[in-house]
Amino acid sequence: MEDLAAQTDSYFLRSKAIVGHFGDRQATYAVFLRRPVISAPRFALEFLESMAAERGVRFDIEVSHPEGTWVGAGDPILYVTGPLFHLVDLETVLLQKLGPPCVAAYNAYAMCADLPKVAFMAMDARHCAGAEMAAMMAYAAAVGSELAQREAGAIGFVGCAADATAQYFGQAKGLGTMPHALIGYAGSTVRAAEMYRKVFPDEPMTVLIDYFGHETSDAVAVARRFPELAAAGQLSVRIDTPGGRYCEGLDPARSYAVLERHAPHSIRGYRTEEELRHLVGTGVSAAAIWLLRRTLDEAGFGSIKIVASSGFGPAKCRMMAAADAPIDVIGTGSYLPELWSETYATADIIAYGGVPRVKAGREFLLRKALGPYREKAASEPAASKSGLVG
Amino acid sequence: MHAMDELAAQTDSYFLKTKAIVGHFGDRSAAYAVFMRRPVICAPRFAIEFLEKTAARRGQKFDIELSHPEGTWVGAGDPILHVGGSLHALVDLETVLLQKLGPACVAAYNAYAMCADLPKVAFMAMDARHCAGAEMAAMMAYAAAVGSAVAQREAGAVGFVGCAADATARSQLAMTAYVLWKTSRRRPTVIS
Repeated sequence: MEDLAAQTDSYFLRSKAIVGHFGDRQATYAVFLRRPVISAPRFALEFLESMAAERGVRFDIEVSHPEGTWVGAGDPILYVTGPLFHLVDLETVLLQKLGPPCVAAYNAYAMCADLPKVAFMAMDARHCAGAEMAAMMAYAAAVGSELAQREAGAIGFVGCAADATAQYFGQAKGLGTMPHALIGYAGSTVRAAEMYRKVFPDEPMTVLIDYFGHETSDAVAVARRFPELAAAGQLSVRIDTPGGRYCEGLDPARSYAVLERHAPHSIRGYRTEEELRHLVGTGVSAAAIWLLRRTLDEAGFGSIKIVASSGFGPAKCRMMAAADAPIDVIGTGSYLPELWSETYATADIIAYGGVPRVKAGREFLLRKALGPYREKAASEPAASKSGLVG
Repeated sequence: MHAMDELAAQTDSYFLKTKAIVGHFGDRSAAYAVFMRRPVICAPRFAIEFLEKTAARRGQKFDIELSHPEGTWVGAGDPILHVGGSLHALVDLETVLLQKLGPACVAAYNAYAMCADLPKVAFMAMDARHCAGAEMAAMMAYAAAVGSAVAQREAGAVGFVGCAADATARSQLAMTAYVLWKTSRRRPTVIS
């Protein structure tokens, strides 16, 4: 791997030099996260396998939790055994490749399982710190989505916005039609739709309707301009109202009234401030979605689909489910980990030359496979379990 | 992959479609405002370098107005950059541009707070293992250098003196020198 040493923490490189000087031995690493996640280890495994091949050594890799299965907090996802000399300088990059996708997969699962009839589209590329992270996140969305498909019969993630990561969803190309930049360029929502249709005449069309603050009236105007496309089920509208204002036709009182009519159960119980914002607040609320659906239906455009975007993370999706919000598609990058510190994966060596030894406080990592040694190791004084075998 | 193809692959498809539509109906100049929703410390170097390199590759001129110089405070919602230029040349840069601005600004804010609270402590950046790839690690090291330089200036802090990996150690030293030079100039900067 190019520049592996440069990307690796220097103390691992120094440890490698010391092990090289005093003699190599087999080491077993346990790799874990501190929070519950869904296992998404493909990038980490590919890295280990490619490094083993490059170095002409063999690593025994035991995946305790296969891809797409649940992992409890602190429960090792991988055990890796091999020559310490060849493993010790892989830890920095290995950890980079494991933690972030496992947490994102968990979020993606939660969102898809809460809204099983909604098709999700991953739009996180802009939120990623570089292309490598974007690839990890797309993979994670696919892993979480597949689990939700299996467990909850969900539609899950059907694609993403950029070509580079489309492969993770079985697609050749990214999805998406028009950003706010096009509406501003065109000067009106209907004109933007006309321009799009002219240049991409054979594709289904999703028209963004919030640029001018006229979500419902612009949605109907676009529908009336393209009635055949609407009737054929080829026309969708996307609502992305910013959090700084209400959707056209709504304010706090009207938002409550909309939910009272369509989903009264959603506002009966206690709700936190954040939950209320998702239900009846500014931006793309459940009330806004219901109002848009009703407006389109009453205008005779029941076949037009609604695409929603703007902060659709796990908490917002849960509230949309609580209000039975009539969403067909969600475009979101909000399955990315919210607290980055939760993505930190940790690797500890739990055995040297087959003999269990782990730093004090991490005895819980001693693997079940080392059962005969586990009690013995646990009964030894902590000090004797710390540090390298010298 | 060719640099342009790689950029297109990383870019949201709707920006590529907009580029095609603008190409069909006629280009016009556009001005972008780029902002964050929370207070941060300005750390725009990766974003500006990306814009400048792309402008050069495309034979374009972008007017980049840095409203808040590197290493200065930015309020929530206050634009950090204003970028003017051909919409056809700018519209497909948004995805990657945003990648390069936000994370560094927030991390710089955190680094500042830590260094300013413990001004006599020398900090060492050990985040490489927590980053999602080498590109993020470079951004985070740069951010630590920016936040640290502000704490040095405002609180007389020792700040970040280095990091754990060679790849970012080199850039961090260079960045620190750059930041110290840059933040000595308080007025908004226009780079083109």
